[in-house]
Amino acid sequence: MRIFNNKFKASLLLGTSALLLAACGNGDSNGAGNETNDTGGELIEVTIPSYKSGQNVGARLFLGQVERFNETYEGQYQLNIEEVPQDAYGELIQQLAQQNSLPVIVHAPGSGSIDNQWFENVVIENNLYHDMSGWLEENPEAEDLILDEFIDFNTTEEGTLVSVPEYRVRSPFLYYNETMYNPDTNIRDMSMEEFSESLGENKIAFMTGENAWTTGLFWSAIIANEPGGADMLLGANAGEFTELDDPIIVESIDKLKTFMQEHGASNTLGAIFADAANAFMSENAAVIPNGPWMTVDFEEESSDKWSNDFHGSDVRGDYFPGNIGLQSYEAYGDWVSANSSEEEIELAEAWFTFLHTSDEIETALLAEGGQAPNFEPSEEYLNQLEEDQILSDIGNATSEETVFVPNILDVLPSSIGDSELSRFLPLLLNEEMTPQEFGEELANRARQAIQ
Amino acid sequence: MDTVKKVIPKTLMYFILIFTILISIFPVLWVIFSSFKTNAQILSSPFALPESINFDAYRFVFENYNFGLYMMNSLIVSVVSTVISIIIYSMAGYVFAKYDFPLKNTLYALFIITLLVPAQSRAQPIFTLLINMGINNTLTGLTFVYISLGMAMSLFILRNSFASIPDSLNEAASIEGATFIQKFWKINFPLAKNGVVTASILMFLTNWNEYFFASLLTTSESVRTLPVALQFFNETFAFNYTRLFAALTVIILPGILIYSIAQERVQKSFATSGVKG
Amino acid sequence: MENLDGDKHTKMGPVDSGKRVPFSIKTKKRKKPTKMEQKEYKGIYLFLLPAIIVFLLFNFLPILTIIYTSFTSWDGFNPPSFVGLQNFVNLINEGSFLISVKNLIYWSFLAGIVHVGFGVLIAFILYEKPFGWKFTRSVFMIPNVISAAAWALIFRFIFDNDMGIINSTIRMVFPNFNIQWLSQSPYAFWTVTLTWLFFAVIVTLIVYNELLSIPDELIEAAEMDGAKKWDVITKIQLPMTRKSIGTSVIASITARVAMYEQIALTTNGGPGDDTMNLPIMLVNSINNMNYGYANAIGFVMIIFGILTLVGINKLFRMNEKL
Repeated sequence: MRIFNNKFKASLLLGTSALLLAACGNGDSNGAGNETNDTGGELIEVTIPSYKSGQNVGARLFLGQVERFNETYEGQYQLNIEEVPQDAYGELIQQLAQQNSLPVIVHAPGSGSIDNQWFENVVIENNLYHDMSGWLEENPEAEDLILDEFIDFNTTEEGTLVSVPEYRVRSPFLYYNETMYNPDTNIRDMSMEEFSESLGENKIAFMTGENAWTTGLFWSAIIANEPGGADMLLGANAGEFTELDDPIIVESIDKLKTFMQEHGASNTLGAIFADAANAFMSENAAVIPNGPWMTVDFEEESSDKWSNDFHGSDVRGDYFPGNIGLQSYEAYGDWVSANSSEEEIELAEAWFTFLHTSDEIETALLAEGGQAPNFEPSEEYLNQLEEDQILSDIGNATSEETVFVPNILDVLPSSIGDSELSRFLPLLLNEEMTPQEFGEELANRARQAIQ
Repeated sequence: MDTVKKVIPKTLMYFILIFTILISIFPVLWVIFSSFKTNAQILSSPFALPESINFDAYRFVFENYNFGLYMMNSLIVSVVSTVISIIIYSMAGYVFAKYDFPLKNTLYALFIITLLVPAQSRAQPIFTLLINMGINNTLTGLTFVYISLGMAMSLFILRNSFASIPDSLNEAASIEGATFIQKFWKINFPLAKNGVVTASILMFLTNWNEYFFASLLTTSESVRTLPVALQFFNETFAFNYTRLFAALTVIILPGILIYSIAQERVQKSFATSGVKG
Repeated sequence: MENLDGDKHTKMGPVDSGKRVPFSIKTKKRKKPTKMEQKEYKGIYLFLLPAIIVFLLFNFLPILTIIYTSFTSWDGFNPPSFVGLQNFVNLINEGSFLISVKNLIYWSFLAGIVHVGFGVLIAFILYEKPFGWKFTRSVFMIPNVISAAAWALIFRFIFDNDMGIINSTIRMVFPNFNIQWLSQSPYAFWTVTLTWLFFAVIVTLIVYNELLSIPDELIEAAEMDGAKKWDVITKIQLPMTRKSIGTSVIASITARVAMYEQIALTTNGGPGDDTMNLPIMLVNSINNMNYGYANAIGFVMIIFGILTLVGINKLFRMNEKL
């Protein structure tokens, strides 16, 4: 009894002292939203949460940009970043919106970030964004660079600009290991059938787990190769595509199934992204569809991820067969929240102006790839581009002939893309469902999801 | 014949014990061993022992992430919320077990229902509350939330614990003039030790491993807890298995150690207290 | 002998174990409060106050929100619009829902019988203090010290077809063995079940503690009267631990109702709908910005929990005094 009492007293003591410690050791106590020090005309400081931090793949570029911005505007503006796990970012922003304390700058909606639908139904609907059309007017160089299609999509009926749209097109494409697969003709000039034949025994790193990302990319390319398929994708509104039982789509499902069964890497069933990436980087698979940011994994610093004699320098890139690239012009960019103060908006606008200077654009393109059609690159940039094999491959591959269609994962309702697709793929591959049944099942669920 | 009757149950018993030990240790051991292998080794020969002991992954994890801080945060939040919860819910459980009063059953039912309210549905009201109280993004805020999460289970266990204590003790104490608080503190609480210990362990573990609210309510690195740190690793080391396993090991081991130490202390206090149950 | 007939209504005090205390009423009827009890009301409410505050602040509003919005269509931000029972009608018509309920019932039985059973078994074994019991008890805790996310991660690796331990071991005997434990139809359900089925340390703890509180004298007296091991177990120990067994059953079944991370991080409800459950449906609805529907699911979860609570309570007669 005595010992028990002592222990209890001890824990009480510990508890109180811990509470004291906690009170002293808290983080920013006003929520993760805005925190601004405004010392009357002097340094304006803003803190925003971001998932592009730490070891996240987007951190390399983003944190570098923040650092250079702070250097350039030293004494005037300072941007601070708080780390948030990527999968918690969306929820956090949604909660902050409820509190009317959104961060000054918020990352663009899209997969891996905040939800497109939420952005439309909540932010745009309720005018929670700061109109950037003024900024656009004051920055004619930026206006020239940004793609018109994006500007159109981002402009509301009232003429307000909801976000800072993209100046570049960043299409996912096929990476391939040239020591394992070295085709005579360019992949983009082949048809799907020719591609399948030329692969021979080589494997593609598909996924059926998480959101079946790599599979979805390839599937989009197959659909685009079907007569009428590209139009279906182009005509769909983001998050509202439900025609999965349409004969064109069913046909594409059948072809996808064959590809996965014949050319899927050994770990395809149940593979999450990490498995697919590992399959490619251990020479299990010779081909992997992915976004341009994967080039980071093929640089020397990432060599600890390689195995079985895989070398980043062996990797080349090309668009999908049929000269298909994936890009939707229905995309929003980074945006500014309306509940920010004047000084905060000033900083935000300076930030975006900064990002559109030539140097920054070149840095971004070299780091994350993409095509900026309105941009005049410098000699230096072109030289540096040559050093990155994959990016220059894609740069050379892009032409007027390249057809860009949306990624099917972007046009499907979010729960279908995030969950249903990956759950039903194994049934398709194990022949427990026919392509027709697969299409119908997902179509039904999609229709229910958008009710 | 008698010895056979004794032997079979005994061997069965040991068989079950060994099974239990295996399933408990094996997964963790495998992760620890694999953290010393290279990615290639993990993928190709998962069963083999590591070819060499390589601490590179650990070095990377420690250099880039502030583990001591995360662990301290997890510890503070878990311990404080557990201690406060035990106090509050013992008081409530005692009253539910020993006394009659209007609305007793309704209130109890309401408290227990909170067990099933999904976390996602609580997110918005709790977030609003913390921001209004000014304690969002603090350990204090998280502590309060954890106290509320443990209500149903702790109350349930504690109430049952108090209910098994005979009423006669209270009656006798009343006759001798003991006050309300004295009856609780000096007589009943010590006797409910079983429930208190069980509830404490349950609460501590739940809070130690809690992710959803931790990720929602803390953004600064200074208040990050271990489960949130794990999610970061999962995202960033997703296909660098060596580093992922190293990170996992670093996260799992402190919990195990803390539990072992605490358990020793608890069992000691049990043994020397003299009163059984 | 009269003390040991397993009569559940006999009370034995822990201090004077020979003394028999009079029979107590099974259910407390509300009596008119005496003067002393009125004084105690102050103490009662004071003691309840902190818990009530916590409840009001952190739980009351969410519960109300769930119940109210389950009858509305709501995107989580703009004001909800009333739709009556539409959400529930949609729910019943959705294939995933029926499968989730079916899974839940299976899992509840598995939880109540196998999971709790195993925990009780270990508790009774530990009571016998065989060689290595302390080690077992410590080690058994390890899986619960690990967070659900970490555990799911570990299990994904162990059951992975290419590099998982299970298949690698089996391939030593059957080289062509290739089963995707988490992606193939009959196996996924059982693999997911295995992530929690035998890890019953909490049950063991609760039952073991109550087991320890059974007075030795009771058992000694029984043995002196010729009772065998089996009788001691079934007539004394099991009945006297039924409160903790009942608690464990309730806890483990409600854990199945609320289980999210283990499934989301391993199969996410798949393949197809094989391992689908209510929390996953709820999160999916939230991702579709269909909060009304999500809360309807939440409502169903709460009802199920209440039914479990009431049912198990009655079944194990947990409200009766020992």
